[in-house]
Amino acid sequence: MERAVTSFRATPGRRPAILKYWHYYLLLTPGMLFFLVFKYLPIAGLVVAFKDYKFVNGIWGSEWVGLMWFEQLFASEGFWIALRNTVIISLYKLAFGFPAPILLALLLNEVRNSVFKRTIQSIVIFPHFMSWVVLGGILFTLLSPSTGILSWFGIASSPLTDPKQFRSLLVFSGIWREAGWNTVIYLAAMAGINPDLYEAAKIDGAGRFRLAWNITLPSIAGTIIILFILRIGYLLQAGFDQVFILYNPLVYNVSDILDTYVYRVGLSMGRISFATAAGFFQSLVGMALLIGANALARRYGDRGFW
Amino acid sequence: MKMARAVSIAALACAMVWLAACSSSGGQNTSGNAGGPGGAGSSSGTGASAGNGGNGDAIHYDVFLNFAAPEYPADGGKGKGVLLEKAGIQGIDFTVTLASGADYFTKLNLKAASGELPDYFSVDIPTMTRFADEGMIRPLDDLIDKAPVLKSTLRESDLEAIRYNGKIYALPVGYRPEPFNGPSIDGFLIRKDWLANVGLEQPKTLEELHEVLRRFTFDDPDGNGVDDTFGISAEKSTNQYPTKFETVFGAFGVIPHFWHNVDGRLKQGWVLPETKEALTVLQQWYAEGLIDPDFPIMERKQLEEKFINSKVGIITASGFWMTPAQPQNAAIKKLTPQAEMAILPPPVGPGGRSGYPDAGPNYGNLKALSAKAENPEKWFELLNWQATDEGQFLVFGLEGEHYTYDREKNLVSQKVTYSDLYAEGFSNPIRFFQVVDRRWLDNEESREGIMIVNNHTIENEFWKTVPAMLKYPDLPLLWSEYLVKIVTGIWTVDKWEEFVEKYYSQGGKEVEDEVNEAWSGQ
Repeated sequence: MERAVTSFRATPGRRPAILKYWHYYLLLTPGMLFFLVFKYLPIAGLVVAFKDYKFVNGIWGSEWVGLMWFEQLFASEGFWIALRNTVIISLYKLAFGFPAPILLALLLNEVRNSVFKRTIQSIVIFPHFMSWVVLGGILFTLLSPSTGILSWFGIASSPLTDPKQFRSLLVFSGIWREAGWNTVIYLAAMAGINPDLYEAAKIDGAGRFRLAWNITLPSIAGTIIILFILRIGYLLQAGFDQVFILYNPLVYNVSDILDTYVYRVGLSMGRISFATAAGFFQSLVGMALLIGANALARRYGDRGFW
Repeated sequence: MKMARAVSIAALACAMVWLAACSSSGGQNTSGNAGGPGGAGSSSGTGASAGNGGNGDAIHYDVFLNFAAPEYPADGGKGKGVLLEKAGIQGIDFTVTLASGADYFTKLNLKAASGELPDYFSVDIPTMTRFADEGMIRPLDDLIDKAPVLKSTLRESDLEAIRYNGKIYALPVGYRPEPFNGPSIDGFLIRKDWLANVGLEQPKTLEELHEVLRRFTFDDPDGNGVDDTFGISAEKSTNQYPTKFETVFGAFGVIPHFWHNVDGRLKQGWVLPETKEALTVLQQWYAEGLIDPDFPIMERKQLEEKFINSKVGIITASGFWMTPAQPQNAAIKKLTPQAEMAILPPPVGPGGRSGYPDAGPNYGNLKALSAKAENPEKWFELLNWQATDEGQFLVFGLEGEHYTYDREKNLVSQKVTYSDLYAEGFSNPIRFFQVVDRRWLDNEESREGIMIVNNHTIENEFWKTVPAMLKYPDLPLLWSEYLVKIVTGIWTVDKWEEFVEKYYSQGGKEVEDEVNEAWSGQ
């Protein structure tokens, strides 16, 4: 232990660590620069949320308006509808969409025939690589009341236009697209489980369900918790592309989420400051939720991020 | 923690503007130095290649256009020499640089930021406003007045719609006098062969249209033995185009999102009682099954597919569809060779009114002149020539070589593709002032269709944006929700009154007041 530490310390007669390991630092630089330029510098742009931003005047020349944009945001009815929808849709997606890949990964893990397993894996991962524009077109065709599959069964109303079914459609189409892809990380975690555990349990007479319940699941619990915390941070982002492609006047009141609201009334109208204020609000809530979830995870499970 | 996308976009945009602001002060003195020798050098060089030497100290104009033509030669090719020679304007020279789409505006901003703003370039209304505020482009009122031919092709309403701080900062497109060169091109496109199949004449009134829709829906107009057709359809609404089936509203004399003059006060069509009457008609049609139930969710492309696949008989589309050169025409003829189409005159409502919505100044081809452009009068002489009969032909190339012109039929037949024209330096890249010219439309029905649309328009009294519209941008959304829910019968027609109340209480009052204030000041 002592030796390991000294080797990293600059001792007389030796070069300082940064010079000795300069090539590691060099390798680190592009990544650091990336985060600095693309993730940290833009944070400064948040200042426009507190200004009446005009192109002519630039960021610094624009007038300070305090919390005007936030007041306008909280005063508009559309915002609260969008916030309510965002939370509801996100919670649905969390409740149904989050366990789906875990279940799928457990099932895939039990498949012994590797050819069959790989085929299935490819099939379930595939939708992830299609954009919502394409998937939206497929859904539209499938669910059209005049030409779709539903019409074969005599169902006249499409879930795309029914406010009662639309959110379920969002959740299920979300699972359709992402569940397969999200299994990858769980399958990787399962691959790391020590096979001795399974062998020992089998000798003790454990069946398949026992193995999955008492060995596989506890072994990937850490991964599940980390992903869950990350997911909580995105609670106010219910999926812009998906909703934007699928929503329509018949379901606006149950489907308009913060992202689509901000796009419509902020960005597409050139109201940069307003859009930034809304984005800032989303980020703040997301960060608060993330910290909260992490604290809970640490208190009860001793497994957090930091 | 991932930054919200909006924030990063905003920040990037800000950074760009900030750069522009910084370097514009430094750019001023360098542009004098760089511009001088650069201008002289290029004019002597191109003067020789264009074959009109002895033009050593020609004024050089740097033109930058938002147009995609990668074939266009860097030195201007043959077209440049021909243009300068035919126009007969001495002592000028130009270079054209092209870029298209979002890329164009990025490059324009970069050029502006580095103090190399082109002399003459494409803009959109937001860019025009920004540049005008910064004093980078000059007002064109006096120049337009001195270019009589050019001025005669412009629509006064277009100029009015883009006027900023009382001045014209950008040049819109002009229009040729033929009625098929009018600004509006969209109308009710009907399957003429279906009409013949069900034994009906072209409908002239709303009543007759109703009968046509009924037969189109239930009498198997495509003769395939399956009940798989609808009378009429539309695509999903957006905040830019919130109304569907406008022409049915037009039959009652209103276009819902237009501003109408009601006893000296402007009101938006959707608060007028005529709108309720039109909604009643549409709701009845929907209940009878004549309207395609997919209309609230379809994208434009899906709608066009339905029409092409003979699933609907009427959609709103352009008169170009009848022209064989158009891809949609080719698609429909391939599937159904006997398919015939026509643009309907707008059906007349019970009160004797009818009309299609006027297209307004949205042709989207604005060009601005830099405040630093040398001798702008000279440049406008060239633009003025392009507006003349002779000048307009240059978009087709050279007569005999690239096209033939039948004076009798007023028809231009093109012998080469646009790609070839661009490669020789002709057509759109050197069309510095565009006069809409559809004499290439070789299909009589297309010409007629566009004429019909332009002869029956309902005008919008107010095109501009007032601040309240930006403050309450979701009013069109409120309308489209009520429109769709009432038409599909989820809500009764009486709900329209609730819409009017909501519209006024959610900002419509402020919008209407501001619009009327701006309008009375016009």
